[in-house]
Amino acid sequence: MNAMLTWILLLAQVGPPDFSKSNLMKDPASVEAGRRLFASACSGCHGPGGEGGRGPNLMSGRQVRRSDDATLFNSVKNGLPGTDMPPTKLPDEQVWQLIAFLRALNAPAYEVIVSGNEAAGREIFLGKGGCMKCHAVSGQGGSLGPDLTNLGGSRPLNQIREAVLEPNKRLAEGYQPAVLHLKSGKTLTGVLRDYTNYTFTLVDNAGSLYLLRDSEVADRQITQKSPMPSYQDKLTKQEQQDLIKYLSRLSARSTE
Amino acid sequence: MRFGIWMTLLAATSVAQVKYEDILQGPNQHWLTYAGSYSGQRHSPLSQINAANARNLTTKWVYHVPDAKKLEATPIVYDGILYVTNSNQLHALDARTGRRIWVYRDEQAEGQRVNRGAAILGDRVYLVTTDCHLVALHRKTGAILWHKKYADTKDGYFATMAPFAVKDKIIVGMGGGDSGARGFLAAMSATTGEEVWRLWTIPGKGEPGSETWSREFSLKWGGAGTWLSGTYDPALNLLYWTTGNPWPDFYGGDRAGANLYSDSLIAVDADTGKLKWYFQFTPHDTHDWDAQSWPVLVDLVYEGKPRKLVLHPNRNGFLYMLDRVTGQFLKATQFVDKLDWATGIDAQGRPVLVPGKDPTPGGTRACPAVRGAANWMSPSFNPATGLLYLPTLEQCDIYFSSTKEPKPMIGFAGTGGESIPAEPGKFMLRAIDPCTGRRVWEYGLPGPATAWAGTVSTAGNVVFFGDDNGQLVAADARTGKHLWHFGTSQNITASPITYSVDGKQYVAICSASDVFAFGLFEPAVE
Amino acid sequence: MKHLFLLFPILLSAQALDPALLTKPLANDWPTYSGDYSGQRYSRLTQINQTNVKNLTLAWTTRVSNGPSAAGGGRFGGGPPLIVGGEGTGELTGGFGGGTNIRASILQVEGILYFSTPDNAWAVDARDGRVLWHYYWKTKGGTHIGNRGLGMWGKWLYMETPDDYLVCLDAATGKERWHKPIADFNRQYFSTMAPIVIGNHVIVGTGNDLDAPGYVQARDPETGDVQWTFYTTPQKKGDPGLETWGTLEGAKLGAGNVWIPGSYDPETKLYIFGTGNPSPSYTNPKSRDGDNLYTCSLVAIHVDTGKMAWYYQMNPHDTHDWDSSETPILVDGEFKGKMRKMVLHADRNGYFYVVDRLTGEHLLTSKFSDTVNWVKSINAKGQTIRDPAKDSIIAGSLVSPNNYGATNWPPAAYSPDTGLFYVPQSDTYAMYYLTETDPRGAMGLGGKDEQMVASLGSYLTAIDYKTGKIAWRHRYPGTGGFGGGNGILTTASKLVFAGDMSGNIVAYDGANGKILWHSRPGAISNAPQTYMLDGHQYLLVAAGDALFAYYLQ
Repeated sequence: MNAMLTWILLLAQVGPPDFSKSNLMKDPASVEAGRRLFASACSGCHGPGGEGGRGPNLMSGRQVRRSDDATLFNSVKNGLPGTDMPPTKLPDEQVWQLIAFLRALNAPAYEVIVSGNEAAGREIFLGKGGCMKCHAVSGQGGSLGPDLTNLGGSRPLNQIREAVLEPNKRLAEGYQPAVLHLKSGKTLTGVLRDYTNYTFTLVDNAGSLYLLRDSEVADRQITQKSPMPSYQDKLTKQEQQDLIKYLSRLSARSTE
Repeated sequence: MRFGIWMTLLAATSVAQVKYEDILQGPNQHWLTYAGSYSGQRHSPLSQINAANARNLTTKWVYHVPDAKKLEATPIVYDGILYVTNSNQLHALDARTGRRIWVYRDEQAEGQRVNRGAAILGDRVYLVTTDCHLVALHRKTGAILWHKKYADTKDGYFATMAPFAVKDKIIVGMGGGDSGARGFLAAMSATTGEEVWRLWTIPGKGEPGSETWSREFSLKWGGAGTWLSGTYDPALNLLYWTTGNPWPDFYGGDRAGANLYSDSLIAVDADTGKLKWYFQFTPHDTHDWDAQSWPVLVDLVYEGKPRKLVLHPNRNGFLYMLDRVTGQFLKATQFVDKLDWATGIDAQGRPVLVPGKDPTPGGTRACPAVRGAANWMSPSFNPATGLLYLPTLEQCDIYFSSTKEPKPMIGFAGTGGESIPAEPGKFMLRAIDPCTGRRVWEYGLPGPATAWAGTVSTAGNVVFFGDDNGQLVAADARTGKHLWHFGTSQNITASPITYSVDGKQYVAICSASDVFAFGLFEPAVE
Repeated sequence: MKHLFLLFPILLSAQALDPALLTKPLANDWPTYSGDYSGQRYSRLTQINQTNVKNLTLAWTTRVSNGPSAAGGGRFGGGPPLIVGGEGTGELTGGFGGGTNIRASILQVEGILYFSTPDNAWAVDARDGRVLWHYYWKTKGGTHIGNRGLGMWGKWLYMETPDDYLVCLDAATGKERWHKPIADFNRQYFSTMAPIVIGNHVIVGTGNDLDAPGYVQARDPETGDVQWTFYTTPQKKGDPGLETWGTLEGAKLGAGNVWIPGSYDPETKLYIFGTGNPSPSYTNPKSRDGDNLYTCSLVAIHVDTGKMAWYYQMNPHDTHDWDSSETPILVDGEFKGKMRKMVLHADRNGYFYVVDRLTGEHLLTSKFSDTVNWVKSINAKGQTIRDPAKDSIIAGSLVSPNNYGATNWPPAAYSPDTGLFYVPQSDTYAMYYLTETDPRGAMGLGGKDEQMVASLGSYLTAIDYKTGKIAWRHRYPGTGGFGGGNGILTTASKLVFAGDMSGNIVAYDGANGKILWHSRPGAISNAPQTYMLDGHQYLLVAAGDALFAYYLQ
């Protein structure tokens, strides 16, 4: 049957959770307690850092981010029948601690403590990293890659780390590198913000926007690979951490 | 050939910047402000769609704004790109196809509210978030340039309005007056977002006007919000802005006096934020009759002399005509039949009150209803017909009051207006000669009286408006004759606009959850 | 000068469906799931043709909202009448509660449209999209994955609910007449199928992802009482097919659910449908040693008795959760020089099958997805025999297609004008890991882990049923998702309508796949349909919570 969606099967059978303990969620000590519980009870399937294994990835999946507290609580407490996710005998308080940890895993990077030197990271961003060729912060920089002004305010830390070190693991939607040869003879090089059978939306290296109909395009080359280099080997471990620190501090709402 | 035209446009797009002078020109192929122009007339010179061919209108595209339940935005359009807002969101669309170019979402903003639109200047578009941040985005990529917080939700403020671009400034206002928050109007630098000036709509202690409030408490918690966009006269360099009701809305016992500058039209120097003049429509209001209807700037011959005028259809049921240079009151005419709180407006512009119409704990019947005879939905003015096209609501309410101690930031203090089930409200679109107040024609809008739909007027002698049954209607601007309609099957709570791309005129409007664009039917070509 | 506004008359007079209409080829109305009983989704309407299809324009659109608060937001005043029923609290929608997504086929009978989402049904004026009534069922819970539509008999409508009731509504008012349980909610059944009305039978089926018997039932349209039940697996000693299971217990709980409507041949009175996969889905406990009849099969039963006339199993002993539920398409035509009455079926497993519908005799098997790699051999009966190396194994095996399949429930279509069968197709690879090594296997869908590896392309594919060869393919930009959206419609003058992955509804030349027209209502969530009303031919499609109707202005 429709296996893709069965992980939620049976949730419906259980009563509403006890929300009296949900206030634990805001407490850093709960997050830490949740981390320890996770290591002993969950990491076997979901990986030591929640990155997934036999069970799904809990860091980047929409399942966690889009689920409300009650759904998460029920999933942990009662398991997911039809899957390998078992029910737990942990008391409600500890279940909430686990959820506090899960939420922290998925919290925007700006809200969590990140090691590294922010100023040094900024230097790398502006200088040897060459990041601004493609990315903009507060209007400064290129437009071939996603705007980073609110990166730390909108993305969890692990996603930022992954984007820096393993950029090809997950392509940012709407930034596929492409070359379009127009029937007019003109050639446009840039990224496709969007394309369909009928239309192309391209931003070129100069930041100009082109809204094209399919009938105007003679030939096209679209790359599935991210144009972003991996900084795994380009930077030292310390430099990587500094860059990640700087990126994690980027929040549109912090500049006020 | 078609291709050639399009490439030319693109070339233009890549360098084009919206200049103050462009906005000064008023609507043409673009629609650059909430009301299309600084004058607030919402009248477009486009005439490709006209009274003779409007029957051939057809849907060109529909864009669904995900999760939208009640769009109230007026889109703006520049160079073939349409910008429309929802709560903490701005969507940039290809104005020919409705295809999304980019979308901005501020997921950190507090709460969900309606949003009435964006502003554009230079290569930037601007919106306000629910929690009073002014956000500047790159108009082609949606990249964030900056966020500026200009008021705090902790003080009871929120924002829903379309920011207003004037010269090098972005003018913003606030909501929250219905729970006491003290009104202000602010100008921010369009470049940096720094605040340039701020004008409080309730005077500070000891300032002129403060004597119109009996309690000092009200000077901090008196309402008079500025939640709608405004209009502007470039020659006089004056902004025309409307202010909301005094607070508490329905009980005036603790705020004896006229309560300046609530329920007023204020004229403000755009460079300095200094109050040039004000006119208060409903002194000491106890019916929640915010003055947030549109101030329409018109130049007309009145009593034999050409005058610079401002027209204002107020919630209280009177259409006011003022001299917009001096604020001098010239005339007021009643534009709804259901009006019983005043017998008229005297020579000074003061209402001649009917006693016993204040809200009481047991309830008092009064007309118009709390929703007002007019409201924020846009009227329009066609200089060729000389008519003001005004959505009006014929309705009365029972008004209740309470003398409980009002607590700021927690709402109405147990009071309000309740509709009368046996007397359902009824919308009418009225074409009014502003000089005489005469209703030249009217168009009945049957329905449950739940619409909040405005109008747009065009040189093609077509007036477009939303009705009370989810239809966008085109009527002859001269006669009110029905020309065309399209059912969106949704409540319309926004005002239509018109623009053109590649030489083709479009009409667009938001329904509850979608943006619809219409144009003349044309057979497809191979 | 008052303007007189003419309101459209709202027709709430008793529209009724003449059951005889259902046995005729599809004409102006759309009275059952596939339009008519053949499952072809082929309309003879010709007002929209190859020449003028490019001038299609939006006639109306309307948006609906699940649940009791539908009157808020975009609705007028109090909104349309809301009728509330149900046995539960309405709160437990298993994570699917949020959005409104119309996956249903929409009935059009005498100017009124009837459609559904889980727990909700609506009647809408087919001329302008005005909602006439909204029925809301307060659920006890269950999987709210989708609802495939309503059935109609005379003046009554039938809806299945996720908590396993059959609800009968008055089509004129939306008022409930009765509701009857059709499956045991406590055994994790959930019901999504569009009821199919044949004569005085309402055919119902249910879904289940755990280990429980699959079945088809006929219900009395007036009372909802059971007329007959057909189990898709053996339930007791002596039942035919028991020899294809390791144990009776395995057979009894062997699934083979029936969650998509079948087709019907009025001449032979045979109801022909596809059955789901055996359970447990991925593991091979002794209890299901064998072919596991009648899972992953086409089954024909007499509609008056529920007795099986024939079956054809496409996929013996399935190990990938590849239900064969897709609505079979009944076609009369030439095959190898002889006129034949046939059943056409494109399977989730990537193969296309043709079977004689009088006898179940196999006629043709062909592969329509190039990447498919799980088949070891095709036997003399045309059955696709699995390669055990492509089961879920501990080290992981690379299998095409993935679990969702090369195609799925979104209905395929057939055009007698082109002789082609049109199917939404997706080419994918996934790694299947065995995570349960206990020889007793796992429960339901358990015991494996699947990781998507690659999506190589999505297509609208046209198959020549006589040869099984691909006549043409339209490839969509990007990867992932399904070409052909959520199903296909064909009309006379060789038009094919289908959604794409960019939110467009597209018209193709059925002969060669050339694109003739498109419009973009947003992510298309059901299969397009057509009907004729007041001189206009409408094209109707759902996109999430909205209906879009197009016509020639």
